[in-house]
Amino acid sequence: MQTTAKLYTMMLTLAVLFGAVPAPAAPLVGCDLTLDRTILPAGQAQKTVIKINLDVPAIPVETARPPVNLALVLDRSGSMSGDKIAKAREAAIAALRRLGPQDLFSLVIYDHNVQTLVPPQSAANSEWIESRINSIRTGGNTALYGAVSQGAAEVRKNLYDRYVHRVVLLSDGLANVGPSSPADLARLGAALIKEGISVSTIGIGTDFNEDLMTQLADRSDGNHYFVESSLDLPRIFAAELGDILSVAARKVMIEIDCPNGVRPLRIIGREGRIRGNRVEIHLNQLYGGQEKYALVEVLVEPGREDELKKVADARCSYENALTNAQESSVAVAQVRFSQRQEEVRRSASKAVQKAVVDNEMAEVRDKALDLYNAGRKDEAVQQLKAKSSEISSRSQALGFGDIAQEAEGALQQDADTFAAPAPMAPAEKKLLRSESYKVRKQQKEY
Amino acid sequence: MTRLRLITTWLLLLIPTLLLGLGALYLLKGEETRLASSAKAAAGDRSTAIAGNIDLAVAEVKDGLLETLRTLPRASLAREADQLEEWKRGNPLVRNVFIWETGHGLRYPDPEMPSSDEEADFIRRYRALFASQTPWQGPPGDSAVNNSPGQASNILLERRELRELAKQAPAMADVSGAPASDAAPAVTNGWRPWFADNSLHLIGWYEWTGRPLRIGVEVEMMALLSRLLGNFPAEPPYTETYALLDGNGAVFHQVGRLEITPSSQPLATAAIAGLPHWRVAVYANSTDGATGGSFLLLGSLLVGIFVVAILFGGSLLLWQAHRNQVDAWQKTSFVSSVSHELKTPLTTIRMYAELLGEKRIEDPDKQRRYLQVIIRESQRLTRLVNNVLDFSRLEQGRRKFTREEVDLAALLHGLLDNQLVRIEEAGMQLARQIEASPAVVESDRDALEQIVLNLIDNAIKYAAAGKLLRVELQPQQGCWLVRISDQGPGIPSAHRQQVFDKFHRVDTSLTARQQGSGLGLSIARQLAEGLGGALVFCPGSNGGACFELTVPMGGEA
Repeated sequence: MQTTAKLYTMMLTLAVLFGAVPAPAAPLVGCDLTLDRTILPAGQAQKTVIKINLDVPAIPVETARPPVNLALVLDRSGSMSGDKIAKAREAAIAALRRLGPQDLFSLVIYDHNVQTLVPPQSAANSEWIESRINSIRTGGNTALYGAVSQGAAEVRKNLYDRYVHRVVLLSDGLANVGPSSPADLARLGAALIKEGISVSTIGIGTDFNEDLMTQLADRSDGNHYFVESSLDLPRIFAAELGDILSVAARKVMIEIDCPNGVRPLRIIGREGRIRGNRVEIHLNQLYGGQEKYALVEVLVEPGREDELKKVADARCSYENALTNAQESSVAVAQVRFSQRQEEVRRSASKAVQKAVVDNEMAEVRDKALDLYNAGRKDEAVQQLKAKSSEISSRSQALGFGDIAQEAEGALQQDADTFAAPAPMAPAEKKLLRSESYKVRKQQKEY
Repeated sequence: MTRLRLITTWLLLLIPTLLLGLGALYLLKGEETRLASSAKAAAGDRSTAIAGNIDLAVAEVKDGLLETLRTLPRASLAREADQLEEWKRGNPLVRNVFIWETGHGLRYPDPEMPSSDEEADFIRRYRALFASQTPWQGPPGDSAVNNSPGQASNILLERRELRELAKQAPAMADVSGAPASDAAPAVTNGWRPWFADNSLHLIGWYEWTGRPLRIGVEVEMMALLSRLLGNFPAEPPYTETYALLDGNGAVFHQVGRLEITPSSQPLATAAIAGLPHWRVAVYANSTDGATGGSFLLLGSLLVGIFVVAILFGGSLLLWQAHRNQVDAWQKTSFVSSVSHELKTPLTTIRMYAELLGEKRIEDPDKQRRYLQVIIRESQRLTRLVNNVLDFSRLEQGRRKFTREEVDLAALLHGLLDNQLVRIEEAGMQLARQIEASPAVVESDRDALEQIVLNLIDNAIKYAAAGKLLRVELQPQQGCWLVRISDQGPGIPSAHRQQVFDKFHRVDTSLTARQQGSGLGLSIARQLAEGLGGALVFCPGSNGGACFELTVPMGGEA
């Protein structure tokens, strides 16, 4: 009896790992599925979380990296004057110097008027570009939408070449000319990702609209950075450049098909689509040496004791940015049903649970902040508390008391911040948004 | 009389000049208005052109999307949904896709189970439309939204017509030689602008007859508008700002440096037929019309300068003429005075000389007196001629002063002694108050003598009735003061300013009681100033005239 149990466990561990790989060469991006529990209690419908890991190895230095088509969109409105614009210029020049002659660089500056200061051209032309960057002066309002549009237009001029397309937006103020709602900018981001253009947003100071900046980045699969002091700008630019220069895969589509008897419920953290039994998640790019993942919660119908059940077929298709070849990798996840509570508990994966808790916390924080911003402070606190107890009880049930405790503590702290009579500091809001963005998108620490 | 003439002449100059200036200003104003209106018209044309371009781009997008819908292979509902979904995933201009069935409502996406928040939003947004509570809008094709009357300008309509024309050709070719599958199904299609969540959305659909399905698309407005911004000039003219105004009149996008506020008044606006209620507006960057008022300002400035120049020049000429006239008159009067002055002593000399020549005068006393008269008169003649000569030298600046040490007291004593007879003859008493000590100055003896002589002459001529001539010499700070005063009638206050002017005489008539050239005081002052001193008139306390001559001790101080 004992041996069979061991055998099963071994089999399961294998089963959850890779499925068949049809491509002759191993694909660049490794796709694998992990479950929060590999053994589910038999005889009852169960919710379980599938974690889809996309693992990209670090690109060796000698490998020719894909060329970059970068449009820098710099705010030069009146509020940027002084140290901010000086640091922004410095950072822009530092970024330019990291690009090679094969890369394209363009620069759009904006106040209430949008102007292309440097039309797209090889970054080798750095002397002239630097003189242009140094000529930037400040003054005026903030036409953010027009600026992003123009930045995208500059990138679009070379859209059909095999570049890594990226718009980097820097702003320190509220968009006060043109569309200014986060939803509108989110739609723009959603359209740009279809063209393979990602927008990374850098919010500087405490006056920008963090919702707008995170949503624009979110929908176009860029990064979002919150910089309180302009002194950090060069570091942020360096981090962003590091990401851009290490793009290994483009137009990444994760498709998860669930067999009958398994119903996807929601995607945790990321944006995506659930259509019937199919889940689709779109990423614009993967960076070398970074692991990204997606979390999908599914409802599994009751299973019989010892029954093995496939819960998901995952397929990750992408364009290899190094070879420009279309590649894909697949994986399968299976569960077994058991009556034994102990066995179920032992099969729980702490890593998956940690990721789930982190993402759920990020989500609930975002939601709470939305409520708070809408003036529904009490509801925000309630949401946080409800989520806290939910996460806690679920983690406890899985036997991860430490995760439960940690989450409870953190969320309690958040609830206290929201409940405080004094209004929340803008910097605090921005920090909260950017932190949860980092968690949901697995953006590298900066 | 002359003054009146002068004023009349000046008015004759002033009035036409001012009229000319006013006329020029009026014309300038007219030109300014014309420029402003033509700038406005040009701005209108430009906004219409931009609006036309945007409209064409929108129409192009609409056509393209409908064309894709049209060419979508017809299959089962699920297949078509998949194809639409694939399309949506790849096309940035597609926000949502749908399949709607008459009588059933929305078939795809499933209103019960939207696959994402966006789809749920989409279903909510168009609930009224999908529930057939609002019509899908009648007329097919682009004209559905082109019906808004008066919004599209002529240019736009023309371009649209041309475009329609261009589109027609291949369609007709299609009909003649295309396979039946392409031409066969008659279709209804349309676009519907939809206002929800305070913004404009566009939804288009395609329907085949005999099939109750409508396949449709919602345009990704933010992406479409983002692309449309390229229709604005990248480098607008320096004086203008172009803006795209959304349905609420807020600035959606602008090019140009003006900060547009709700109170900014556009020069011109043009409606965009494809985007209902959206407009292209052109603003002037400065607030005072198209030319910024600089034209009028510059013009007015020029006109002002011309008017002032004409007036100034004219006045200068008038003044010059007036002065020449006065000078000429003074010279005529001077010549007649001098001739008259010369004639008197000459007549006297000639008369006495003739008397003596005829030897009828036996009395030696008488003879001596006559001779003395002749000498005196010739001396007077000499003084007169000297004065005239000095005057011309002074006028031309050729008078040279020979400086030497002069004892002013001795000089005055000598001079007064010489003139004592004349003074007494005129019935005047001479009172000298001259410091005994030698008053040495470094100066021109002749000039000093002439000044004092001229002053004494004047006193004899005009103030003999005062019976007293007082000559004083006093030391002053660094100079000597010679004061010559009488008790005569004095100088009328109206003439006090001008007594030192050349040719000026209190009584200018030829029949004046006293003859004179009007040069004496003028010469005296010029000489005094030439010596570094001064000659001033100070009315005497008892009504007579008093002249004060200051002579610097060290010559030209």
